[in-house]
Amino acid sequence: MVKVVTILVILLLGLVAVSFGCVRKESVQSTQPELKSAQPPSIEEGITETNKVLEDQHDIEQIDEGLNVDF
Amino acid sequence: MKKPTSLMLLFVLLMSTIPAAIFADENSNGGSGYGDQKLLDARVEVREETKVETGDTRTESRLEIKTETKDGESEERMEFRQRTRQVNEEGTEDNSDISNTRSRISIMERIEKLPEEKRAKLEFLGKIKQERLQILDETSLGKVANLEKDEIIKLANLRAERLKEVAMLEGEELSKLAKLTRARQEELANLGREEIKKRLEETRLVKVKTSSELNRRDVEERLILRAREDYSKAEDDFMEARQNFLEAKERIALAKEEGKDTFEPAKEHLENIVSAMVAHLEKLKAKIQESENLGNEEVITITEEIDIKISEIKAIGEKLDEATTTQNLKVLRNELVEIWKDTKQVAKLHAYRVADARIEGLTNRAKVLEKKLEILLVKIGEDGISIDVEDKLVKFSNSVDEAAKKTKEVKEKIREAVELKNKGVAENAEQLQQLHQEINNALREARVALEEANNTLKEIVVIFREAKEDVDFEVKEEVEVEFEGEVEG
Repeated sequence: MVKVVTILVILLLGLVAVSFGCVRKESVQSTQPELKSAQPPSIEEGITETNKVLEDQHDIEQIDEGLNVDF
Repeated sequence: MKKPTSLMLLFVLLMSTIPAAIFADENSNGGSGYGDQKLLDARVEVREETKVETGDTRTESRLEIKTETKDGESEERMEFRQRTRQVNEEGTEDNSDISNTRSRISIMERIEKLPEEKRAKLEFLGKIKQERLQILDETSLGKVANLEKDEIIKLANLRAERLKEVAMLEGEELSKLAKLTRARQEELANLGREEIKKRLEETRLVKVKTSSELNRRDVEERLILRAREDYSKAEDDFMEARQNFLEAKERIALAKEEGKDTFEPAKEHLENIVSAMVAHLEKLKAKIQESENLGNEEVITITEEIDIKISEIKAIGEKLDEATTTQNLKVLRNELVEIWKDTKQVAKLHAYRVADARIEGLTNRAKVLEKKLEILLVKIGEDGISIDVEDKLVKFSNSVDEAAKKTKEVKEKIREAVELKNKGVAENAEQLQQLHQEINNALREARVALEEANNTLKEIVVIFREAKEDVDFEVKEEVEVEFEGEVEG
């Protein structure tokens, strides 16, 4: 009887240890999704905007052409 | 009874090994990989081979470290190879420094001698970076170890003889140099020590959490949105006016062909030219209002100047309403041509200022980004993931530096152009045109450099994502970056 109880206690302790190990591993993995979400860095939008400002210089050429009319 | 008991005991024994296995796995994944606990109390065998060939002045070292734990279950090997062939500044192979260089054993011994905190930083570097530091003597190594991990990694990329030279700087100077971008470090490291000191003294570092703190002025979100709306409206106005004057131009040609009076289409044409001019200036004004990288005073001055030009053009528009003959229109057309000559030079100059300011803002952003990526790299390294993006970071840094240099060049030219404009646009038209061409070219080069930087940045992001799928690029830490401008608030 003592033997059986001892075995059961050891078995129980083993299971507790296994569960503890699994829970720890799970908690390490579960922190990962929290790190998600941030957008990757980019400077693309700023470049497009800069290009836009400079492209507007074409307005000047078009106005120059418009002014070049004889009536 | 004995058999089931034995089986039960065997089962318990097997079960008890599972947690151990789990923790062992966790340790190997979560550890830095450089300071594993199981190396403690281990038996370490060190084997070193050194080969010196005086003929071709080549020195080779080889080190093998074999570590065996007490229970003999695991064995680790660390191998080190050193090739000491180096090319000096004259382009010839020079091994004099290297032959005096401490061997790998020596660098490890020197690292071992450092206090715990410093030692941990250098051990984090890994063997390749450690190799690069072997040129340093104990004092220099101690100073380098005082820096942050990301700064040490960056500094270790300098060529051996340059690293040796900069590591001799005073602690504070070295710390300042270590905070600069890779491109700036390389630039300074190639100078003599006194010149480096001088340049560092002139260098200003600022601490920021985000690059927006480097903006020259704060523009409220609602004002930015309003400026964007104004821009959008002005753009539509310009397109409409352009379409109208092109159609009127065709009608003028048709009337002339048919020998009819051109007054009506000519008047319509000029009215739309006036609208197009005003719309162009309104577009520019909106961009100026939105700019966070132009100073407050600069914005006020430019806006006032543009408003004056708009009033002058609108005044001609009012005269057009009163015109009754084609001759009146011809006179007004000539007035418009004259005003436009000045206005377009002024508008171009201010557009360049806006573009340059924006590029400056982008280079500031990129500098902060470079720094944050370095911190991220260390964080990921501490999770036991090694990412090799050093070459890409160097490329990114060089492209950003190129863009920054171009904006500096543009600023000089803009200053010159503003002076000429203030003296009189008509009198200095030719010189202004020449300067505008140069500014335009420099801005184009700056944009190309920034586009290259952005492409490299995309590659860096891919490498990070491949190494760690859910990598968080948001680094909240404050960083110190070089800043030349003034923040007006």
